[in-house]
Amino acid sequence: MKHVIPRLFRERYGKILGKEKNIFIEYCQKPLRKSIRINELKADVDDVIKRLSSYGWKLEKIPWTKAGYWVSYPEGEQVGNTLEHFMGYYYVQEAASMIPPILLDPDESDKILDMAAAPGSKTSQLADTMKNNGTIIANDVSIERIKVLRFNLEKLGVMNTIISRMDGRSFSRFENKFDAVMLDAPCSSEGIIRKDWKALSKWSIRFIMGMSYLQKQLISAAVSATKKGGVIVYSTCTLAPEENEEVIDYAVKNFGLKVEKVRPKALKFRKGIREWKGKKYDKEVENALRIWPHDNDTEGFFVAKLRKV
Amino acid sequence: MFKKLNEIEISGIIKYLDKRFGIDSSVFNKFKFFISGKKIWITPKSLDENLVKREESVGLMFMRIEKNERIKLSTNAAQIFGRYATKNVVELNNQQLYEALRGLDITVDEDSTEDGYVLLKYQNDVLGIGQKRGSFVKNMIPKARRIKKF
Repeated sequence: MKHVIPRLFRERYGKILGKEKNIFIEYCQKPLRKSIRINELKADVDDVIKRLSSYGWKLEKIPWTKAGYWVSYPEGEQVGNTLEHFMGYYYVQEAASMIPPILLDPDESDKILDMAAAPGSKTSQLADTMKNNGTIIANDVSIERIKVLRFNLEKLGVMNTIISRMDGRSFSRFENKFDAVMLDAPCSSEGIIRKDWKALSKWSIRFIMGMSYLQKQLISAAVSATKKGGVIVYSTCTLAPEENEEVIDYAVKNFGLKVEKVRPKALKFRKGIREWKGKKYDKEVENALRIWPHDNDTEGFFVAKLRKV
Repeated sequence: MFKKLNEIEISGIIKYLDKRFGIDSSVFNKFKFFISGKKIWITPKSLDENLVKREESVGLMFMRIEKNERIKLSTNAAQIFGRYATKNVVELNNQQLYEALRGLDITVDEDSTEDGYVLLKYQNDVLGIGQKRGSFVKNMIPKARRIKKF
């Protein structure tokens, strides 16, 4: 069944995409491909592939990742009903959402803040890259989301993490404490409608503007908490320029951040846009990655790697 | 409130794991431990516990102190460190695996394991903890981890 997409939503993205709008809308209505990330904290990649293949699963490498795979499996099976999933040998994670930890690229000794960490996909991916060394502060504001975060981290064998429950904005007090900050910001979630159609139920311009205001406060706190020379990776699962390029533009103009030019392997992406609704954005914003659902058959996503200079 | 355990407290834990499961103490050389209420948590030594003041959790919940000072390894800790165990490991067959993952209790044949906490292992995977009494093993895998349709 095809869902109805609001007229205003179509019009907004028609302004950016032009003739491509139709294929974008078509992909918004297609179900999302299932993908997993093999958890090297507990398992060997080749071994997990071998085991899942023996159940009749087909695995296709996600080219921009180290251990991410699109999967398909025999009818009637479910992605989470295997011994390997029970053991935490893999985690069900959307292919585009694996990009921010890859861009953050932590060292094993780093002190990292994951400001809005639940449900823990990116935290656990960071811990995997750090081989369970260093320190990650995995923060979330909601006690309910923290329960899910803790469950997932512990199942995946993550040990280098302290979970905290604070309003992300209060990290402005933690001046120059962290080598890097991951800010996967709360957002209007336009990009995930392929897996959760309800995301559009609260969609409105007013909601987007409210999110944009919050995101600017969160990125301000992230800048404060990052050491000079450190990295902030900002991401959202939305396509709204107010929540993406506008927030990056705000950080560049107010804090003098640089946006690094990053190019994940074999990932199709667009540059950040320079102008939206009469607002002109700094040239640095072009270095961000805008990922449309039809570019790589993923959810819609936005990510930028910023350097505090 | 999380308090870091001192060397004497840590040696008590390590001795228990050696005595009960034959896990060599050197396995824990790179880790430190914290206590909060009745729960003991494990982290790598490299973790900086002073970054934030009010933590919800520190590292991975390792074990719980029960009545009569008994201690029970958590499912997640058993999955990670159980591979180093040399005793009190119940090897499951396919039918017992099915029962264990669905949360059912298990009946085992006579084996060399002692009554009390045992590790449940299927081939190379340690699934978690069970509590053995004779041929009966009570399934201690948390409800949230079980697979209803395995």
